[in-house]
Amino acid sequence: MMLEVKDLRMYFPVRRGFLRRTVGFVEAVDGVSLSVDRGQTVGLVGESGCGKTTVGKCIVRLLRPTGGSILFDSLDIADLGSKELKAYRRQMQMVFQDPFGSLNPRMIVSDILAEGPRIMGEEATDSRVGELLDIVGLPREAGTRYPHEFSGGQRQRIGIARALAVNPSFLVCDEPVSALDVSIQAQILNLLEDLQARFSLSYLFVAHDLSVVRHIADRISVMYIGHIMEEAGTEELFANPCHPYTQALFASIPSLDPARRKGLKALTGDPPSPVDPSPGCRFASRCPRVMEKCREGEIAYVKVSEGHYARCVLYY
Amino acid sequence: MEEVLRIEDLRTYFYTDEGIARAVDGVSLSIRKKGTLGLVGESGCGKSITALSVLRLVPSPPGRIVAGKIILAEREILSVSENGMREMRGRLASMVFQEPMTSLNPVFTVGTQVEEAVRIHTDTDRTEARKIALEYLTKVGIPAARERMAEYPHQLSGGMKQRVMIAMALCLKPALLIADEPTTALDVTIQAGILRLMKDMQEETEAAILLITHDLGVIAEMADEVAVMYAGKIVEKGQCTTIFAEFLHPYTEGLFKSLPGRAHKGEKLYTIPGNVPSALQFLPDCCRFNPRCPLAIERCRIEEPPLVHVGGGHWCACWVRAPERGLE
Repeated sequence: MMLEVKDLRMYFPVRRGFLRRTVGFVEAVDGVSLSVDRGQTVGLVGESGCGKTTVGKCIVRLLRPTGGSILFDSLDIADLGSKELKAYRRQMQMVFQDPFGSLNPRMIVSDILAEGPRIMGEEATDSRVGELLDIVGLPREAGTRYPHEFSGGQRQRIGIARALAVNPSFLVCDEPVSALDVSIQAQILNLLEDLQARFSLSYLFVAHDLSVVRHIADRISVMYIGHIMEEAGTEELFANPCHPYTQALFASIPSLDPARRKGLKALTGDPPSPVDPSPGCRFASRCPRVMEKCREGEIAYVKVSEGHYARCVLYY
Repeated sequence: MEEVLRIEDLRTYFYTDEGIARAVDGVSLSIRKKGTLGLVGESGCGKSITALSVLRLVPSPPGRIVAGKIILAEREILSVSENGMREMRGRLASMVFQEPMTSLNPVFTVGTQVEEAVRIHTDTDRTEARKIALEYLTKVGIPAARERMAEYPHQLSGGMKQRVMIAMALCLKPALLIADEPTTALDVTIQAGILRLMKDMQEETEAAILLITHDLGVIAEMADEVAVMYAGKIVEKGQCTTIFAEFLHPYTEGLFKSLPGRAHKGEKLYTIPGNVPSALQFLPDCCRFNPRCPLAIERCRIEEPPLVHVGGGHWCACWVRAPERGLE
């Protein structure tokens, strides 16, 4: 197992008043476990605010988690200091969602690509920069230009090249295509798949678009307000979604066939606040199959079938 | 069935320091009562500018409607005075914007804002306007609407804010509702509810809907007719079922084939090469899609293809796929 996240928790304090006293916690990530094999792609899906990006940021250690462990090649990196993290970051990089906000507008592309290696204490030669541009399908002249001269898709290519500059083995891709047009999205997805095959990369692919994740991921974890609700192999999850939330999520995706409109099934109610959530299942307030015991205490994460897990009392 | 909106050869240009951006360049379309037209395209193709032109809300300068006709409920609106136009907005046509977070005024309660829309456009007094506001906020499915009216936009979730926007747009029973990416900023489970709501409200008020989106799934679910826009022009239009089953234009084909839902895991996705052009880069006197088109022939580079009827209300502008001028 290349990456193994166990019981990851990330709480953010909510401060109020003149003394900025802590009045509660946003339980953004609350007991998340997942694992990624070498060369595998694991999709982490969920709606906005469910904590999926926070999980990604904890794994690359842009955040120091409140609790839990993150084993990378059997080394727990959840609590490493900045020196030790440097060596780890050589292995693990991140591709960000916003291709407009994630590149320094004052740096030319070749400087952006050379920055990572420089921080690692290496000289990034012009030929290395050129090679990186080749890898992501940009012309070599791109190196002398500034990010604003590029379109969204090209900028995302630069973001990917930057992540690859230190030869990582693992990429956390946080919504890498959601800001792109459909025709460009396909180009970037193909590129990510090519790179995976070429450099035997592992991906944690964080996204809200189920059709994208279905295309790229081997396994999928479905997240809702800080909890993993269900986890299974991609085919299994789509063939046999077990958790009522996963079912609702699938039912609300419009089909691409106007001749067979299914009539979208809408969930009632809004998601609960992640600030000091009430005990029990976090989906209980919107669940069509809610029962008494859903609101009592912790809901266990149970095995539905081989490799398929769900956090729901229906499968006790 | 009667036509609510008819746009003929609309041209909306932007006069910028870097040159003329022909954002909308010869768009024609029409929507009937109770009909829904889906206008699809990628960013910068001119779909939102088309919508803003209908309400005459194009920022001017630099924008200007330079040619064309817009007939809204049997009135040519391009010759109407600004005051007359103000009368028509809200009553004849209203709009729901993409970002419910920024389209509501943060310093007024939502009740006041819906009420204001009613009072500006009709002769009702405050109590009456308040009643109408409450009625519509209830209709769009806001729980405890009476209490919610006293709340400010930041106290509502994104889905609830979009419901407020829809209530505001529909409370005057406009003949045309323009929805510009109404669900793009929302989660899918919330999106499903909003789409359902728009359909139910359409049943009730018999409004025509101009639905602008880049999401083909939303179109498949909602639209009767579809128009596909690329670089300021409509490249293909027809019945929704026809377009989804028998798309002709290479751009439409590219849009459909590049959706990840259609390919299997491990299979390469179809891609449209190149980048989406910005309005300043739109090519004149040729097919604007030709640099990215796998089928382009010499003629595509020197002559602009007209939108021709290929049968069954299906129109396509392509020298290769729709070469002959069909029935007008």
